[in-house]
Amino acid sequence: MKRLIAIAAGAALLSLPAVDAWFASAMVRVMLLELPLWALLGALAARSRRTSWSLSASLAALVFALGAIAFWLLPRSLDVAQSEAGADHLMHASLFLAGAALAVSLPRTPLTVRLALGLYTCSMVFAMGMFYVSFDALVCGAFDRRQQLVLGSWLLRLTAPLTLAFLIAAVRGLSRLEEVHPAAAGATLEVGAP
Amino acid sequence: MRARVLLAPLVVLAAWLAVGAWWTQGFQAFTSFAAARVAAGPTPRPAPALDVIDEHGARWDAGAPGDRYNLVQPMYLSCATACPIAMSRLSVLSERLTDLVPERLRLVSLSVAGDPPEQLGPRWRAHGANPGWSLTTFADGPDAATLRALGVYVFVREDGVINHGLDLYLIDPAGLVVAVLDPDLPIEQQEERIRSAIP
Repeated sequence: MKRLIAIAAGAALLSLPAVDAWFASAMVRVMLLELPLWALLGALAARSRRTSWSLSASLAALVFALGAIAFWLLPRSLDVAQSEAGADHLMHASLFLAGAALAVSLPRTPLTVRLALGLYTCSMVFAMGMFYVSFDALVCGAFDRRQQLVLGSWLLRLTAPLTLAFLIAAVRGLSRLEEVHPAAAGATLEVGAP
Repeated sequence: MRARVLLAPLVVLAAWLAVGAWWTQGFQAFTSFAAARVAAGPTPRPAPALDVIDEHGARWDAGAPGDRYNLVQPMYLSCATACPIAMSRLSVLSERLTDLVPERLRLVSLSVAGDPPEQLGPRWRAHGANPGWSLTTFADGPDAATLRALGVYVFVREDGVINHGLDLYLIDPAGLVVAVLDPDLPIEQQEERIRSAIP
């Protein structure tokens, strides 16, 4: 109960016009603080409830979460969220749900899928960083070129620690799997093999 | 068994693909600038009425049928970033098209900010008082709907900066937008596209 109250308070704080305006004043704050914070709130909310989802429902939740994140990373979506209050609220709500969906689905997702997702996330952070650092034209109408550059350099800085964290988590996950089911560890990695 | 497990994720994936296709107009427009360009429709298309006042105080319609082509460039006078570069490029383009400008082609810089007409003259003179290049502003103030119909995305930021599309719109004497030129194209290619559009 206390956790839910804390989450509601967090959501209320993030929704305050002054806080929202502070995020909106810089592209790096929107992309690296506002969006992850809303997802984190959703993840915390989902973890406070016991759920027993089927594998199918978990994968559907995972696809929903990835779709929502990808949608709000589109420059056009970011522009609309900065210019229309309704779209801004929709962004907050959908990222909250995406965070909740990730928290519910990831523990049930096969290790190989989680490894692929982690690797994909690290490479996308690097690719987005390169893109924003090197692209000459303005991508988001709501921001400016300098802010694009700042965001790109932060994404590049984040790539190394993120990849390191992913590698540590991957090694730990594989080791744990091998300890529990020595045969399953190999089998999990060979999904799709005849 | 596997197919049943995948059914729900595939339905969600299909839903996201449908949303993505709708939002990006068939996966063509990922930025607001591109979305405005695509939403305006393919060329040739009728140009919207561009009721403007120029640097001499004359009022005319840059989108209406007339005796020559108009090459319309969105800009605003206090722009400190992209517009000065775009206007310098337009000046170079004008020098390369002296056989067309001003008899067959008029360059039209159009303010997206509703700059007062009296401020256009000094800037026009500062750019060399080119008789084939008009600096204009909407006669009745900023007109976002008309700019959108032309294909120009405009975002007015809280700090007063206006981010806007920089495409060049070639309007023929029949009042049709016959070409939309990427502002980042090399000037030689812009010139080539204009020449190929003007018989």
